[in-house]
Amino acid sequence: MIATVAIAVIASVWLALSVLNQFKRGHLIARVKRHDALALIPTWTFFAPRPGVTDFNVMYRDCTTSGGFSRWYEMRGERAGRLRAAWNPAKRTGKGITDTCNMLMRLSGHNLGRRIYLQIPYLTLLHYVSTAPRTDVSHMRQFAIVRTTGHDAPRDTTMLFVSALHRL
Amino acid sequence: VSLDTAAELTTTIVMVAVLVGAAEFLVSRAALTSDGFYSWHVLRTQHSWAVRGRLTGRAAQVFEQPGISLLLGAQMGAAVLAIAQSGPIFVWIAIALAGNLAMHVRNTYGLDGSDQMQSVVLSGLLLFHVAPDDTGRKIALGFIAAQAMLSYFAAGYAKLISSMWRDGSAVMGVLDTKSYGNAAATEILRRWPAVSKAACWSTLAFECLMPLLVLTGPTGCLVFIVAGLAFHAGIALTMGLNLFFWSFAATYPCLYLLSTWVG
Repeated sequence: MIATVAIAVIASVWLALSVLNQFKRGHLIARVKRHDALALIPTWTFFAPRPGVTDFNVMYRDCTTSGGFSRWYEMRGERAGRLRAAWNPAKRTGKGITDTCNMLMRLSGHNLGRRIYLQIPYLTLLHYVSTAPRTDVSHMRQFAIVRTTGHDAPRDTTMLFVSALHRL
Repeated sequence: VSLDTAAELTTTIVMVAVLVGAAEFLVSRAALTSDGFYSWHVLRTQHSWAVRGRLTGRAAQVFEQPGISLLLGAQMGAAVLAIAQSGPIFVWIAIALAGNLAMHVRNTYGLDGSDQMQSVVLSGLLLFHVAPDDTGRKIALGFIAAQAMLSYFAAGYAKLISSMWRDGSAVMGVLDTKSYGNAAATEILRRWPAVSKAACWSTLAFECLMPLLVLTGPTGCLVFIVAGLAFHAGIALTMGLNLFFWSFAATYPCLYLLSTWVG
């Protein structure tokens, strides 16, 4: 009997918090979500109210020992294969990049100053570009987030964010 | 349909999602190394317990290579055994859920609604197996059904208040991206904008109204299930969101059970 009541309480509380989280209203759900490291409180508002109709592209360039800059290079992730309806490992990193860029763009609007360099999305992207090949004269590197539209031939290119230069 | 049959079907279907999801991470394991996009050296800095303290070493053992690959392998093994209905199902569900939650703790980014639905379904199944009586088991499967209903209504409501979904440009916009795009579908929608509008409104109508069929009884629920499978198969084909099909289909046996209670 006690176990059944416990199950009922767990299910009810979990469901109630899930309902509240869909509308993002109130301090309670904001506080609960801050501590929800296991992502147990779901967000079910897929592609709405503002669907993602652009892509984030991560670019990088190097500052050489002589002080010049290389051109911008694109970090090219794995592209989804023909069988992606059943098997799509490429989406794992692709979604990660999109989420990270989204979060960094949100943080960049908070005027964090130099503290932005210590934020996880910034560090994640910096680490990501630091794994790209470098030349003998590469001295420092910076990354940028570029927004594009379009599937095969990206268009409407906008540079949204440029990082500081970081020593390699 | 009995409680046990619904739980078995739900277990089998959600374990397909777990198996494919873990295998996808495993073949992308380079991303989980210290040089990869999901480097634990970077991601751990968001958890104070992973940077200093007694748990630092343990966390590194689990979340760095080869620990993380072993965890994914264990998840796959548990999924296979659960699908084969072999051994203690409760243990396989617990392992699958632990792996799922561990990936949420580790990665923070890159997981989606299908992963969240897996956590919900696996937790509901875990409650089903620990429940001492039929009332507890009904509550556990009812919880999964209620989350499924909520997911469709919440997704539908969020689209209803969105001008991009109402004016019919959302589907065209999403499909015209590299992330979830589809060149052939984009071309069709560009040539016939009315199709984009129809796709937006049929998605909206499906998510807002179709789940109500569950509440009309088993026949209505079967109509919803057929429409839901077609909906998620279409999304997998056009957008590559393959795991949503399995994660959400896993809730359908519980929705059917719910329909027999209310219908």
